[in-house]
Amino acid sequence: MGRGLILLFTLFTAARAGSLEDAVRSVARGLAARLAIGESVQITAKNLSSLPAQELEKARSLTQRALRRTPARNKPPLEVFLSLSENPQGFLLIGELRRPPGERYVEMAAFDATPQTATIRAILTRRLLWQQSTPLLDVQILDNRMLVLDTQQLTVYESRDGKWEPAVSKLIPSAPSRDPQGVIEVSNTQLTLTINDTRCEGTLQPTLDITCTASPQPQQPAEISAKISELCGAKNVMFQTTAVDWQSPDTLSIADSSNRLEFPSPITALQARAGAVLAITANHAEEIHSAYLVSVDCSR
Amino acid sequence: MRTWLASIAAVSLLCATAEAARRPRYGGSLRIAMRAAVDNADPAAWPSDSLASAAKQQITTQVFETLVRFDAKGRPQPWLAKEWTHDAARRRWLFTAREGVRFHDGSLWQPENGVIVIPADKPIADILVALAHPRSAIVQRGPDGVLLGTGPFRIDKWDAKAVTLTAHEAHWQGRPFLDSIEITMGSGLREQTLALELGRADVIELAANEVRALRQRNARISVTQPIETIALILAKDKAHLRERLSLAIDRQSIHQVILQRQGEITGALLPQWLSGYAFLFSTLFQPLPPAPSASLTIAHDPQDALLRAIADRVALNATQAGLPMRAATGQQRPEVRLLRLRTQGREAAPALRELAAGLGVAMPEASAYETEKSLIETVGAVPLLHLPVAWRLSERVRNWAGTWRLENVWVEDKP
Repeated sequence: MGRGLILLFTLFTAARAGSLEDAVRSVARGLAARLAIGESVQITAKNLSSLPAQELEKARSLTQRALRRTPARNKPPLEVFLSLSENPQGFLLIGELRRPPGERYVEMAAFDATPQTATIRAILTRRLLWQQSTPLLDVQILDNRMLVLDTQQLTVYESRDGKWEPAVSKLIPSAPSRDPQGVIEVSNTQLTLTINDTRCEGTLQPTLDITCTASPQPQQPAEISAKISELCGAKNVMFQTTAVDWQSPDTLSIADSSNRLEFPSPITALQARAGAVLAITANHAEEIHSAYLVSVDCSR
Repeated sequence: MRTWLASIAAVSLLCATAEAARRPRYGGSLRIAMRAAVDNADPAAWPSDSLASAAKQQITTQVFETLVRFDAKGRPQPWLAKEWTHDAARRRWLFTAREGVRFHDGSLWQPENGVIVIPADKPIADILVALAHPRSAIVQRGPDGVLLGTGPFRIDKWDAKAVTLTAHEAHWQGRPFLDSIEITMGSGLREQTLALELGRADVIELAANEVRALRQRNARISVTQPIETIALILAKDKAHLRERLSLAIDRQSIHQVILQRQGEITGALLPQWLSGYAFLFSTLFQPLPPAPSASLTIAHDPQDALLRAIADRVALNATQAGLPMRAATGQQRPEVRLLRLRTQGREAAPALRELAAGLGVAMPEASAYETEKSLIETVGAVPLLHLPVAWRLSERVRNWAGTWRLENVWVEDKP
């Protein structure tokens, strides 16, 4: 298992689909083979996919160009119905040529609309760490203990018989916020918490002992993102999210790559961890707040 | 009086808030009712009936796990295998086993050298699809015939009418929240509704035409994407009537009146979201001029009220279009069967292979679209509608994600 083995995932994905231009070439070639001399086409296009209208127009004009023929006199053009569609594996370009009275030919090709310039070949997997009904801010796992920071308190859980049981908790006096944010920082036995306008410092061991003071809230970044200094051989790898509102599902992706992971609820916070990312999601409708550890398998 | 009412409202609100504030709870039992009856757990013995097949998949994936799983986008994800690669000669695929995976008796899953070797006799896409199917689950067969899996739940009891699963304490992803799952099988839809309303069930199946009304009543409902196909299957000697029958059926009216606009009209076996090309199959309602034809008989599951309503409408449409149709009686072999076909997975080609196997035919290798066209002709199918599968949930169910990932589900019992 080593040098002689080759990464498989990328090969598998790459073999399935090319670009939209490749798909147009493939579909146009198939349809052109069905055209007799003197037959021309008139294209009607529709978009059944989640791609923007520009992609449909691009497909239509490229196909029109590829199928351009000099029509024979008094011969009406044949109808070609061009559709952009999609399935769970990706996008489809489908061309349907109709020749009266009843002939019909279908050509289709899969394509990938995501950028083809992925520099990181990795698989993202997520593991649910914790879930509760109070909005979560940060979660840290330290050996057999888990620190859960939410908008009201810090709770330390201990692993007993494979279950997380609450050991101790401490209320945090923080002003309410519609977009609460908070971070746990642990260095040896020293503990620092930041929640909105409150900063708490103290110790985790031998007992949880913290003192909180009001502190000016630092400027928060506009985007929810996290940076890992080194990942799969690349430097400063950015993770970013896409949800636009609290009702949307979300996608976590590695910037400039096609690696992505779907989440059922919007991600409200991302924290970099060693070779991984902690993602906090909030399902506000059902009051379910979750912490996931997203690990990255570089597959090399 | 107004103040008193306001106080009651405030107390109700507080109670609701207090309930919502609870954390996920370990313990409790989830009670599920279903129409299908699955007589055994063995992944090697798979039922051909699509309803039973879907039910078996739902139950056994709690107990047995596969090397690979497909995510919501249909992409393979590592599961019991951490990674997979091929050797330099491309003759073998090597799947590296995840460490720390235990069977339900506590023994470790330890493949030889930590690797499972698969001959590279097929494209990897096909190998991954095959390995992700519950048929390919990792099973340890004990000398007494007991089947042990590695999944989040183990089998406690399995008989013709009921299954009880209990939590696998040593699951590699952690113990599930639930202590147990109790599944009642072979239960009709009315029986299921009664069980839920009497507090004897937490998750029941829901007919698609009931979804709208229950939503208006604020019932807790979980609806999947359309994964069920309602289709007519003609007997071999009547297959020549397929196109004529398809043109005779007013799908629009069935969709609007009987199904209350739930699901989608279709002329394809696979739904549009799954194949991407379902729109190519015609749903045209254009009855041809009547021509002399012998009478046809139609049959369906007699317990299925929705199918009965659709069959009545199909018979009316067919008769009006010169294809006299009536309900089959007794032991009479019907010329037309109205079926629910359940599509499996999230990729067109394997989903079609499953459908074809369920209908008792084997399809040659071709593109998914060509295969589907051919399958429709071969089995004399007239697809009518794609329906979601809907579940109604009791108030105590939490974290039901719409799929059968029951390890994350928990139940909240009122004190």
